[in-house]
Amino acid sequence: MKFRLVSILVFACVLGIVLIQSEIPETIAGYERDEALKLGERMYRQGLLPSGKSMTAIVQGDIPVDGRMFSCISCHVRGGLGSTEGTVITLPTNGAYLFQPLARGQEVLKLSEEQQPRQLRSTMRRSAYTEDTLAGAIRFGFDPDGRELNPVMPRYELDDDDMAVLVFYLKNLSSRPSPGVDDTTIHFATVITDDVDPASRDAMLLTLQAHVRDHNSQSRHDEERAQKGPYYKDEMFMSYRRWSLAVWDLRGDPATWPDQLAEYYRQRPVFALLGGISTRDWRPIHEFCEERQIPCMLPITPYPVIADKDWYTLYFSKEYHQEAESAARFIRSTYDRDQLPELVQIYRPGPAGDRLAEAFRRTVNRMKLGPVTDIRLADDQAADSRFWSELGRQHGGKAVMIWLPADDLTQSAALADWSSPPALAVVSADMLSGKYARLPERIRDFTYLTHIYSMPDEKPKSLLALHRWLKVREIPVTDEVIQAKVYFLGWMLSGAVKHMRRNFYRDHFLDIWDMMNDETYAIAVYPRISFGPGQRYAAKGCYMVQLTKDPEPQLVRRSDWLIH
Amino acid sequence: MNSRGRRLIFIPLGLTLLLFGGASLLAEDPPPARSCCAAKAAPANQTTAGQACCAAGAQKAQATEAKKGCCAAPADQTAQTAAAAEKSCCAAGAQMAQTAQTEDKSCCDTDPAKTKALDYERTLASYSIPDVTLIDQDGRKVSVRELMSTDKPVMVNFVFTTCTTICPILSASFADMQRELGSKAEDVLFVSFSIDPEYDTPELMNEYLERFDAQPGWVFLTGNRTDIESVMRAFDAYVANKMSHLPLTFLRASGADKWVRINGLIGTSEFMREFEQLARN
Repeated sequence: MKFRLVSILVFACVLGIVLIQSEIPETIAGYERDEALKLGERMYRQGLLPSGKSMTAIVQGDIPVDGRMFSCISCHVRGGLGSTEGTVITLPTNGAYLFQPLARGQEVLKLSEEQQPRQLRSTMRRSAYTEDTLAGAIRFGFDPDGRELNPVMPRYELDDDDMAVLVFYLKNLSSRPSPGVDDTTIHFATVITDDVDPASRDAMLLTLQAHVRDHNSQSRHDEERAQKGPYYKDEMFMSYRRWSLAVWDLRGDPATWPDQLAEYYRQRPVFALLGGISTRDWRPIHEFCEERQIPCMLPITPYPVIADKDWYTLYFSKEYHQEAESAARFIRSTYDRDQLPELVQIYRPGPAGDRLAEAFRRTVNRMKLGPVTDIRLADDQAADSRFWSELGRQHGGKAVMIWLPADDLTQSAALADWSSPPALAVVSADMLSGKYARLPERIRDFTYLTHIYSMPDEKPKSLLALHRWLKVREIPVTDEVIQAKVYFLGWMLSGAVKHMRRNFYRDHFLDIWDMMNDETYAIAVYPRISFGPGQRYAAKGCYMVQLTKDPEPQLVRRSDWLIH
Repeated sequence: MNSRGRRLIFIPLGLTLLLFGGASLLAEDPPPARSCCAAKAAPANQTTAGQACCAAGAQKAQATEAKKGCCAAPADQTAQTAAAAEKSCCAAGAQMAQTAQTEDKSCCDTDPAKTKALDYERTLASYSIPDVTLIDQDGRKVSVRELMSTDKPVMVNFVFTTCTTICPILSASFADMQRELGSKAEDVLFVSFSIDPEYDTPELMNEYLERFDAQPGWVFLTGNRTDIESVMRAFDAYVANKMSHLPLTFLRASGADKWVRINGLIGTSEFMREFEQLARN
C-alpha cells in the first residue's frame, strides 16, 4: 500500500518534470519561430516593421531615412555577409559572424591564437555581440567594446519587440552552411532536357566539364597547401573544395520535371546548378530553384522566366523579351513624342511569337507610346503576298513589328509597294535564325532587326581566346555561341568561388556574383555583360541592325548596344 | 469513485500542478521595456519626449549598457564618443518629432565644439561639360550641356539604382537637402547620373526617385555607355568598375565657373554648410 502510494508520487514528480522540460515552443516577442523569421526577413529586406510601417533611422549623423529608401539588405546584402563598395566596407551581420569574438585575420587557421607567433597575432579585436549589445549597435551605433560605428550605419528607432524580431532574424541569417558542400567537395549539377540535340548537349556539357576538370586539377596544389602551407595563408587554401558535377537529364512532359528534379536532389543535394540547356520553357526548373532556394547560374534557354523580383536564377538575357522591349525603346528614341507612328505587330501564337508580342505590348504601354494593333496569324494562314498587300491597305504608314520566322517573310517584299510605306519595320534576328537572306532586298531600307548578340566582327580577341582554350582541352568548336556562354560561366565561377571562401551560403554565392565587375573580354558573344544586386539578366542590350542589299547580306549596326 | 481511487488520481494531478506552478514562478520575467529614444511618446509630447528621454537615460540607472551608451556615456568612453552618442540620440529625438524645426535639433547645435564633424575631402575644379544627350526619368531627352547652363545652383552626384552602400546615402542626402530648402528647393537643380546605364532605365530611375520622395528639380539621367562615360570623365569621376565608385558630390554656385568637389559621405549639416558657403562666395 505504502509502496504503491510512493510509486504514484514518484511517477507524478517525474511526469511533472518531464512535462516542464519538454519543448515549450520558443516565442519571440510573442511570435512563433517561423513567423518571427518571416517578419525579421521583411524588416531586413524591405525595411518594414511587423506592423507594416516603414522602419526609420538616422544616417550620417542627421539624415532621416526610412525603409523605402534602403534597408539592411542594401549594404549587408541578402546573405548578410556584407559588401565592399568604393571606400566603404560593410561588415557581415550574419549570426555566425556577430555572435563570436573576432580578431582580424583569424578566420580559419590551423594554429590557435596561443600557438601563433606573438608578433604576428592580430591586435584588431571585437568581442562577441550579445542580443543586448547588438540592439545597442543598431540603435545607438556602438560595438560591444564601445567603439563607435561608422556614421554610414543607420541608427534605427525600434521598440523592444521589433528589435527582438530583427535580432532573432540576424541570429539565424547565414548561420548554417547551405546543403551541397562537405569537407572536400562542392556538389553542383547541370540540367539538360531531352529536347536538346546531341551536338548542343555536348557543346554545353564538354565545356562545363572541362572547367570542372581544370579546377580539380589543383594547379596551385591547394589541398596540399591547406595541410602544409604557412598558417597565415590557411584561410585561402583551407577554403578550397573540389567540384563535382552531376548531370540531371530531364525527360518527357515538362509537368513531370519538378518530380524528376526533386528525385535527383534527394539522391544527392547540390549547392547550385550550373549552366544547363533546354530548347523549351525554363519555368519548371526556375520555380524548383526558387522554391528550394538553389542558385541556377546562366542556363542556356530561349525561354527564360521574366520575373524581376525572383532571386535564384541568373540568365544570360531576357531573349525574345529583350528584343521586343528594345524595339519599343528604339521607337521612343527615334521619334519625338508628337510624331510617334501608330503601331501594329504581326505574330503567330507560339512560344516565341507570344513572348515577343506580349513584351512589345507591355513596354509600349509602360512608355505610353500608344495602342498596338495585334495581327495573329493562325496556323493555316499563309503570309502570302495578298496578306502583305491587305496589311498595307489597313495599316499603311504605321510602324510594323514582324515577329515571324524566315519562311513567312518570302512574300513580304509587298511591303515596299504600300501606297503609304511603313514608318519602319522590325524583325527579330533570333526568329530569323541566321537566315538573313530571306528578308527581301526591297524592304531592307526600312527594316531593322533586333540583334541581342555582338556584331560578327566585334570581338575577334575574345573568340580567339575561346578557340584556343577549347583546343588545348581537345574540345572541338561545334557551337560557338553555346561554348562561348559556358566558357564565360566557368570563368566567372572560378572567381565567385574564390570570393566565397568558407562562407558556403547560397544567398552569399549570389551576392558575390552580383558584385562582380562588368565583363567585356571573357564573353565572346555579347558586347558586355553586367551584374548588380538583384539583377538577373546579365546581357541587357540589343543592337538595331539593318541588312545590306546583297544576296548574302552583311549586318550594319544602326544603334548603340544600350537603347533607352 | 472510492477514496483510494480519488487518491490515485488527485494526488499525482495535484503534484503535477504544483510542479508546473513552481516552475512558472521560477521562469524569467519578460524583459522590461528598455527602449529609451525609441519609446513611442504621445504625439503632443514627441518633441519633449525626444529630449526628455535623453535626460531620462542619463538619470536613471537602467540595466542595459546600450541605454547608458545613448545619452550618458559610460565613464570609460572618450569624450568624442560621448559627443557622438549624444548627437545621434538627439537626432533620433528630432526624427521622432518629424519636424525640421531648429529647436528639435538644438540639443545637438548648442555646443558646436561637442558635435563631431564628419571628415571629407573638398576641392575646387572646373569641368568642361560634354555635348551629349541623355534621357531622364520621364523618358525625355536632355542635353547635358543645356541642363548645366542653368543659372540655378547645381548639385551633382553619380549613382545607380541597385547600388548598395554609397548611393542610398548620397540620394538620401539629396532628398534631405530638398526638404531642408523647403520652398527654395525648386531654385536648386539636383542632377544624378547613372553609372549603370545597362540596367537603369527611365522607369527604374523614376521608381528610385519616388522611394526617396524626390521633389521636382531632381533629374536622374541615363543613356548609352559612351555618353555616360564622357560625363563621368568630365567630372573626373570615372571608374571602370561601378562597385569602386567614390562617394562624390559636386556643387556649383549660381553663375559660377568652378565646382566644389566633395569626396566622402556627409550629413545634411555639412551639405547645408557647403551650400550656404556657395551663396556667400
